[in-house]
Amino acid sequence: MYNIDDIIKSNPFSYKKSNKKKIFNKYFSELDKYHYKNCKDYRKVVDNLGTKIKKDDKLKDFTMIPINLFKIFDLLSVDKGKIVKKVFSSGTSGQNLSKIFLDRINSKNQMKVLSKILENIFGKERLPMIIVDKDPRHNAKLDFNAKTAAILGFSLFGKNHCYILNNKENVDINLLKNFLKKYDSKKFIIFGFTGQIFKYLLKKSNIKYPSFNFKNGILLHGGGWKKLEKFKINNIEFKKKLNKKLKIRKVYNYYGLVEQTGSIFIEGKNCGYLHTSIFSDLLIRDKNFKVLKNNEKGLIQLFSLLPTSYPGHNILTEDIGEIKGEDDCKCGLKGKYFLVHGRIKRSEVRGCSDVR
Amino acid sequence: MLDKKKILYKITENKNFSIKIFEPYNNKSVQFIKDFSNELKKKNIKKYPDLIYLMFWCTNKKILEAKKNFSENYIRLGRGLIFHICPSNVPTNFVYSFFFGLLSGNSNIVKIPSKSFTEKDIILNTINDVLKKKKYLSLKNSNFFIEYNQNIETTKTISSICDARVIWGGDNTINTVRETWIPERSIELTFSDRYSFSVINLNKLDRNNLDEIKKLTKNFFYDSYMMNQSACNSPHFIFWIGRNERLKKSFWFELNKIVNKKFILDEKIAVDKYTHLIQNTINQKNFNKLKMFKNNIYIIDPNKNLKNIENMRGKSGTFFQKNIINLDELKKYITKKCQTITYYGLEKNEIKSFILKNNLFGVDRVVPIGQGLEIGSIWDGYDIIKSLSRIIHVE
Repeated sequence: MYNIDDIIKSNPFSYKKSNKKKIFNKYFSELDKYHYKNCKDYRKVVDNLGTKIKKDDKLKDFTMIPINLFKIFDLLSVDKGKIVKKVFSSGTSGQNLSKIFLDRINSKNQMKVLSKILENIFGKERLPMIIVDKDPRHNAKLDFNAKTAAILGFSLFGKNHCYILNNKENVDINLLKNFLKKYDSKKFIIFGFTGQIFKYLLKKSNIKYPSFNFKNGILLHGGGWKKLEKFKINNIEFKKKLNKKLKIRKVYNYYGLVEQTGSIFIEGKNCGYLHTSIFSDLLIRDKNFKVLKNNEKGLIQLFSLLPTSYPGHNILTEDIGEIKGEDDCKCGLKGKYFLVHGRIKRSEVRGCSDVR
Repeated sequence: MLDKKKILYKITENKNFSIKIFEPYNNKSVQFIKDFSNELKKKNIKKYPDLIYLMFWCTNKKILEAKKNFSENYIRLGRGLIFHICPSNVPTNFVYSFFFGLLSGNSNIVKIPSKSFTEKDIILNTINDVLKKKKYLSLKNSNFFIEYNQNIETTKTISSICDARVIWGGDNTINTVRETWIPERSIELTFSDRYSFSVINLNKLDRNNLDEIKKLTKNFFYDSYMMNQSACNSPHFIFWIGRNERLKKSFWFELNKIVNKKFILDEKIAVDKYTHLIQNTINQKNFNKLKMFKNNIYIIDPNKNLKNIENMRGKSGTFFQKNIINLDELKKYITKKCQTITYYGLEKNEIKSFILKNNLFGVDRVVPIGQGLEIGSIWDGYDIIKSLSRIIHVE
């Protein structure tokens, strides 16, 4: 198996198409072979679908695992005894939980890569950090759900953490004021889920500029827009509001799956698009899984070089998105850049278009 | 002694609600169903194939005039109050159950699906509109629709005063409901989870008669795709009699054309279907070969040593297939779970003698391909109208 350290040294958003393809496809194909060899269930799927592993593989020809499969089966590519962490996620739709099994190496690689990706936003230095949530460590039963995992994971990239929600789910104004008093003269991080940022910093809050000075804040948010659907707010307006009300100018959205933690997709500087890195790739497919061209909307398929202890390297999501281009985004980041338009909806009409 | 009136008031909040009985197929109930159909026609139902089917069903002479089949030696009356427990995941099932209760001359309390469906709302609005008519006052005060979420107390209460209980649902639902008491004289009909498949006799299909192949695939399409293959009577498996790979090929080819044209495949259905397929590839020991017509049709050839097929289910157009030599070979696959066999190219007498000869425990319906989804008062081995009415022997 390849070692992720081989590609971790350079900037993950610096690879141009041809170079990226060479490296990514080689590593990915190795990873796929590894899962085929080590995960009995994955092998069954590949064999039964008749998608034989070829030498000169195109990404589109590998067998995709539909995201809900992690809710149905415990999928592992290592011995169960080697698992050091299980992460559960309900997603937004299901009753059943996704179960992700991590061994030591996989877990370590996630943090390494996440750190490398976030360097593009935060720089190399660890900065003071506001987290728009409750301190998950205060939660008596520390179940490792995806939310907790994300908060704890991202928190490692900051210091002097300030969790601004108290147990009653209100913003602790004094805490926030004290933090800003100490740190607002230099760069600091604001992290939270998109829905939480909207709820606590924008919608019903008395947190306003200039008594709260966020000018030097770098805001990173993700986790989906679903909760904001009823407010009909998109990424552009979200940014405008943060800028207008709190004077935060650096706002970055990220997109990622708990099944592919680490190799997240981040927004470039003021471009509004999400970007692939050397650790990730994506394709857009139509309802017959035909690969679509740029600017065509369809199902998002996500590739990651990180999952080693479970076969999560090639996932068909239930999200709709479109690729806008590759390597030529105005923000300067190389790789594919794309938009996510949210979760697929069950159409109201079932079955056939007519009856005899 | 239970105070029926009190309980009825508690449930329906209608002081005038009372249990009335009528003769099966009484004019009022037949007229009500016809009026319902007319009213439904006025609603915007173009988008809903199951509502269009329902609309036509309500004018079907076979359904409304089945009285002819009753013996003239006896008189019949409804049993009293029927408690219908309908599945939460099928939008239109409850209205058929209600109509059978009505046609058999009963008062009804119908537990409707708790999930939200536009079809459900349209049906309920239509029923309310018809019940508003003065001539149906007696029906308005003897029929009630209730929606609740797995509250066993409510089930207990209604069960304690019903004369018959009709349960549609999975094995769990049926077992849970059965733990609640019904009065000694009350009866119960259960419609549990079932399995259906098709048999096609290729010897009777002329490969030069393309029209016939087209007709067959069209009929098969309606049986399997109309309810997204999720109805009890949608086929999951095709048994082919008479080895002819070329004909099989053209069957799938023609089916694919129809699916392409008529089936509304969206991303959600595609992902669910693919997920279900992948789940099958992991779970099935019997998996041998797969053919995919894009996401329109998935066809799975199982291994030779196939034993039990009742868990080999498809979704939104996923089929298992196997060649057999003759009808008798089917015997081992017909378990108690088997409900409907749809067929092509077989004689009625041939089927009857096959069933009698083998003393089968399973299969309740054998109908030509294309009639798989038709709902009649003979269902799951019951004559529902006769079961929900009482014979009075007068000599």
